[in-house]
Amino acid sequence: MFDKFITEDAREIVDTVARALQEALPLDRLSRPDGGLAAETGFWPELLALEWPGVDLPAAIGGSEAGAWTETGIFREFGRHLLSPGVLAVTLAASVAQEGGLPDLARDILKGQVSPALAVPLANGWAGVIGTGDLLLLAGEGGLSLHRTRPEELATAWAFDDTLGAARIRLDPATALTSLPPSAQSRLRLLRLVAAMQNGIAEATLTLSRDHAATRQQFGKPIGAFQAVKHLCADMAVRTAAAGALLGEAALDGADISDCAAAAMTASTAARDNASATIQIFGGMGFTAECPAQLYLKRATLLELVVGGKEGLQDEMLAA
Amino acid sequence: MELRTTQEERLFREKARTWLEENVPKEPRPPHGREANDHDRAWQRRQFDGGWAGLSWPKEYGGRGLPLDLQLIWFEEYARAEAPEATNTLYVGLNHAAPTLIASGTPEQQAFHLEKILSAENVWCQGFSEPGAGSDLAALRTRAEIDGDDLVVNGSKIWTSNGHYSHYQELLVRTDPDAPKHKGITWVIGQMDLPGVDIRPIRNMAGGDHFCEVFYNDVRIPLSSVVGKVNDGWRVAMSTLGFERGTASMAHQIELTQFVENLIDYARDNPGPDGRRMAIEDDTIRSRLAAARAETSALKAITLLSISRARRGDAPGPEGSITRLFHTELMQRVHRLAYDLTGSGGLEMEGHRGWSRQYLEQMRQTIAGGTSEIQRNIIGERHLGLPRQPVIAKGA
Repeated sequence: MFDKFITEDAREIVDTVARALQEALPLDRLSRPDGGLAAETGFWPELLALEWPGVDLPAAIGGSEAGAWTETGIFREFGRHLLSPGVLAVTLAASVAQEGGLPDLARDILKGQVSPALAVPLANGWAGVIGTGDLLLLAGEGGLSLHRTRPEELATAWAFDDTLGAARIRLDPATALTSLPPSAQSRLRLLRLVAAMQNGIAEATLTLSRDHAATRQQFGKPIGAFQAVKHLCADMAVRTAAAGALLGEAALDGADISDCAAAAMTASTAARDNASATIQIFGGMGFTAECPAQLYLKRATLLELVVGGKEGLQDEMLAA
Repeated sequence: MELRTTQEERLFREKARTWLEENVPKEPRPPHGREANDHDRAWQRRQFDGGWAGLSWPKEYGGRGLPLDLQLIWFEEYARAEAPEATNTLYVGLNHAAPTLIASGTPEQQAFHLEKILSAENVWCQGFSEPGAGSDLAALRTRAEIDGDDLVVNGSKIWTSNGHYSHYQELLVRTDPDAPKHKGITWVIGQMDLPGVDIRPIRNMAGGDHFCEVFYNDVRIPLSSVVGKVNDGWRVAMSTLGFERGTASMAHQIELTQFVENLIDYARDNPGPDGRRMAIEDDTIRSRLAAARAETSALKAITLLSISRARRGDAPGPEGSITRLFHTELMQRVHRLAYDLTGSGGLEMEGHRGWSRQYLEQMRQTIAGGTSEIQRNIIGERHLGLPRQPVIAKGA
């Protein structure tokens, strides 16, 4: 659905992004010790120079106003190429700053002078931080807020995904630079972009599984010839199609919170289920750190945290 | 994008809405049997007389040749008016037989049959499956030998929905037993009241007798009833199935969307299964309703994609199997949810707006017209390009 209705201009930009990512950040970077966040942040100045994170943000803050379809398509590539959720933080922190009346901060973010990281609320006043940065975008059920932070305030934690790192910090809501309610435009953007990255993950894992099932032989046949494996792949294709359909709905003009929540929730489920199925289809290889399937699973799981709990999304989906 | 509303579309919607308000039958449709078929025929006839039948059919075949987006508006208004379910006992004639005759029939066959299908004068059934040929349809063995100007048919068919009150049948028979199994099959128009045809209804799990076993004992069918060529029936049949897996389910999908909205309204206004609070306050019900709304929305979006593909003139492809698999399994989830919403009211088959019966009826969806397992094979092999499953050697 998404691919059928994306405009030619948008498609051209998205294809360029995909090629550049393939070259600069090939998946095998993540199997090197320094290939995770370090390799990726090395690429960020270039990313910012190309204006991708601000592709659908207002020109007044340095965005290029190329439209939601382009932005959605680019973030799907970010998901496919396993870019960290930090890339989401750049776009959303700029979006929140702009919507919250801090245009100068928004401009600095898009210029790369401030590095935002994503944070999600934990219990007892703590927030969990994915990656590192000097500005935190806190995304939770209560809405979105921006917080200044200093690296020394971050307490490093054992990371769920060690290619990303993890930390925790005490956040006082009163110190927020700005706070937006869950109904804010920036939250709709968050839901749509998470849906896009999750679509990228769902598609990438479908391709991995398909290619493996078509080549890996057991009992003298490619394992994809056996229905038990073929049907796992078919179910992945169905989930991916449904998630792609809702992503297209979320990128339409006039998409509301219910559309965006449905897209985020459906895509998150598709990404996690597809990644799990990929681990299963790869067998013993699937359980190794070397196989990218595990990274897709971890990223899909973390992205799901960023859109808040399932209950909140369900309320939004049933609204109206 | 296709969502622009033109003046033409607005006017069409208004006309459809007005007509439906005035003409949708007030009495509920009987759940099954001949009474249901009588109801379906009267309703179809009314649509035919009002000029609302065959919206998608080409004008030269008695249809209105409307573009697909106007048809979609009709389906939306149809669901909104809570008109009787569109997938009814006339489905095979309207959605299988007629498209097949339009694609492969002779001018004589078209002239004789098409209008009678559209006006519900004639009811059609399908004669594809056999006791020994279900998912492996091409293994069918009902034999037809050419004798003069006739085919002489012997054998039996099964799961023939509505066979006992149908006038005609799309019948697949084996005309060349020595050819490879897909190459010796012929598609022929069978008449249900011919001498030698014996029809036995089979009671189904939802209490109806909508499907039948049909026996053929030296049944003589004129060769002029063959659609396509002798031994070319597999190709003719597959184009029909392709059609079914494509846009024909659109009306039903829109009804399903409406049904989910009705469930959400019901859950807001009625106590949940535990009787302690409104159903929508129950976390499990709430989560299932949210998923159902998202999934019907996804289904609708995927269908819009098929529409734009059909508009470009592309034949329904294997992605039709993705839509079908998603659609049929979603229907089962939604109707199971509807049943669960009724609590102990589910004891009564027709209680709670017939939701109990519908829940049971949905069990057929993942079996009829190609099982979910076959759909997954098609998706795996034709969409994803995975190798075909190993052929099981004879005698193994």
